[in-house]
Amino acid sequence: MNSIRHRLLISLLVVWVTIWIAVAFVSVERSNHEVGELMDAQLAQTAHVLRQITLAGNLPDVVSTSQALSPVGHAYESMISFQLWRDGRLISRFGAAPDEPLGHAPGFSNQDIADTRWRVFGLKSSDAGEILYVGQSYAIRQELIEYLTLHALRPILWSMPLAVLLIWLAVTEGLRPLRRLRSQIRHRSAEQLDPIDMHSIPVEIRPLTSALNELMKRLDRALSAERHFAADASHELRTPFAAIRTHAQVAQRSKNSQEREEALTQLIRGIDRASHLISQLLILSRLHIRVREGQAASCSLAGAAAQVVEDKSTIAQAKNITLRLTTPPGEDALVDIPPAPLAILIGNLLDNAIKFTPAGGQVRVSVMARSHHLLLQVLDSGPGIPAVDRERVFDRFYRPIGQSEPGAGLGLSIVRRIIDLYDADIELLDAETGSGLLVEVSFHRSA
Amino acid sequence: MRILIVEDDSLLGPGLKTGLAQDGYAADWVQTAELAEHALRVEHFDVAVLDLGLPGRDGLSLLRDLRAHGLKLPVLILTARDTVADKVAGLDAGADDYLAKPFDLDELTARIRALTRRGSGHATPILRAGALELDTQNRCLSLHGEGLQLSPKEYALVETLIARADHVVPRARLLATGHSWEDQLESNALEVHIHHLRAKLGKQRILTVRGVGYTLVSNPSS
Repeated sequence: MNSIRHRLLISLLVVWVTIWIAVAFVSVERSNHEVGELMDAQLAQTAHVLRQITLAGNLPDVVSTSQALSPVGHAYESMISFQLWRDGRLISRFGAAPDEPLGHAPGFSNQDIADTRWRVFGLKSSDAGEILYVGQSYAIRQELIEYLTLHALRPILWSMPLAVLLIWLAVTEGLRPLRRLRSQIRHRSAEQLDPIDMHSIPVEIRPLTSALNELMKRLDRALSAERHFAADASHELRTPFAAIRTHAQVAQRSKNSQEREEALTQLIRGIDRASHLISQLLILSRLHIRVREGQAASCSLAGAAAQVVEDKSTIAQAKNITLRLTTPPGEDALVDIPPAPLAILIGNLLDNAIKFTPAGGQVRVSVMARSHHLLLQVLDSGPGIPAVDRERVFDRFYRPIGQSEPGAGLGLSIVRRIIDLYDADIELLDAETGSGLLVEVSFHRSA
Repeated sequence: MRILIVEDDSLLGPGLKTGLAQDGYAADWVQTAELAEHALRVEHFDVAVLDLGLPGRDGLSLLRDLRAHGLKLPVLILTARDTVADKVAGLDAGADDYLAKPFDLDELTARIRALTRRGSGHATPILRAGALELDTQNRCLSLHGEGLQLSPKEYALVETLIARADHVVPRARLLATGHSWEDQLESNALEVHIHHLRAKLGKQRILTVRGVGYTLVSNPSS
C-alpha cells in the first residue's frame, strides 16, 4: 500500500533498529574487552594475595581436587583456580586446576589443557624455584560476559514494541494536518470553490494546498463562464421565441389572408433565426469543451480558404458581391488547426464580410506566406467597425449600435474562441482604401 | 389609442406592431432609445412598450430619463430579463408593468388596456359618459343599452373623447389617435369621421370648439 504513514513507520523502524544493532555491537565489544581486563586484574590481584599467604607459610600443602564451593557466594563468582609449583613439583592446588602446570612462565598467557582453554597469570615467589599460577577457564569468562551483556540489552529489546507504538503515534500526530485538510475538502459541496484557508496549513503541504487552490480558482472561473454562457444563451433565445410566438398569434388571429401570409413568412424567418442561433451556440459550447490533445491535426490554409470561398459564393452572388481569393503560388503551407474549426473560422469571417458589404461591393480573401507564419486576410467594402467597438465585437451577443443586419452576435466570439484555442492571432484593421474592414488572422506554420 | 414600441429586434418589432394593430391600436416602432426619446418628445402616445436590452443606450436609462423629465405616460417593460431583481429594477425606474419574453399577445394587449384605464383614472374596462358606455375590453359602444357599430377609426376617436368627457380634446391629439405614422389622417378626414360619429350618437353629443378641437358631452341638452 502506498501510505505515507507506513513508509514513515517502516523507514523510522529500519533506521532505529540499525542504529540500535550497531550501538549494541559496539557496546558488547567494548564491555567484553573491559570485562576481560577486569578479570585479568582480578587474576593478578588474586596471585599477589596468594603469594603473601604462601610467604607466610599458611598455604596447605596439597588441596583436594574435588574442592567444593561453599554454598555461600555470588552468582558472578569467577571460579578462579591456582597451582603452586616448587622446583617442578605441584605443592598446592585449588579449584578446577589440573595436575599439569597451568603455565610455563610468569605473566599472562593462554593455555589449552585437555579440552579447556585457560587464562593464566604466573607469579614467581621470592623463593627461587617457586612459581604460582592463577587461572580461570575461558568458558567461565564467556558465561559471565554473556550474562552481563544480556542483562544490559534486555530492556532495550523489551522497549521495541513500545518504540513501534510511540513511532506510530508520532507519525499519526504528524499527519494530522493532512487529515484535517482531507476532511475540509471532503466536506465541500460541488459549488464550494473558495480557496482553502492557508493559515493553519503546515509548510510541507502548502505547495500542494496552493496548487489545489489554483485549481479551484480555475474551476470556479470555468464554471462561472459556463453558467454565464447558459444564462446568456437562454436570455438570447427569448427574443427570437417572442418574435416567433407573436407572428404565430398574429397569423392565428388574422382575418386577412395577405396579413396572414406575411405573418407566416415572418414566422419562418424567426424559426430560421432561432435555429441559426442555436447552432451557433452549439458550436461555441463544443469549442468550450474541446480538448486540444488528441485533436492535433493540421490542414492546408489555402485549401480550406478555397473550400469556404466556394461554399459562400452563392450568397455572395445573390447580393451581387464580387468574391475573390488569392493564394500564394506554388506553396501549400499547413497550419496547426483541424479542418473543422478552421472552416468555421474562415466561414464566420466571410459571412460577416458578405453580410455587411452593400450589394455590388467586393470581398477579397487572401492567403499570404510569411517566414514563420501564414496570414489570412478578409477585406470587405462595407462600413467597417469603429475603433471603439473593435474589442467588444468579440464579446458574446455584442451587436454595435445601429447595426441593422440580423445576427446572433456570436460569429466573432466563435472566431475568437478558435483563435485562442489554437494560438493564432487576429487583428481588425482599416482597409487601405475605402471604408471597409480588413481582418487579419495570423497562424503558426505547422512544424 | 397610440402605442410606441421600443424594440431593437427587427422581427419582433413588426410582429408587435401588426399584433397590436389587429386589436385596433395604432402602434409605432422604433429600434433605439434615442429614436424613442425623440418620438415621445414630438408626439403624443398613450402607452410605451419598452425593451430593456437596446443596443447602445439601455432601456432602463431611457426610462429613468423620461421620468426625470416628468413624462407620465404608462410604460410596460417587455424584456428577456426575467429575474425578480430585474423586475424590481424596472418597476423602480418608473415602469408601470413588466412582461417577460416570450409573452402572449392577448395578455400584452390586456395589460396595455389596464394601463391606459388606470392612466385616465378609471378602474374598470367600462368608460361612461351619461347614457354612453364604452366597453374597452370587448371594444363595443352602447347608447341607452343599445349596441352601436363603429369602424376602428371611429372607435379610436370615441375612446379618446370619452376618456376626457366634457373637456376639449385638441385636434392634434385626435389626429394622432388611432393612427400610426404610416396612416396619418388627412386633416379633413377627421371631420368626416366626426360627422359619421354624430350621425350615430346624435348631433349634440359631440361639440366643435372652433380652432381648438372637440368635446364629447355626457348629457346633451336636447
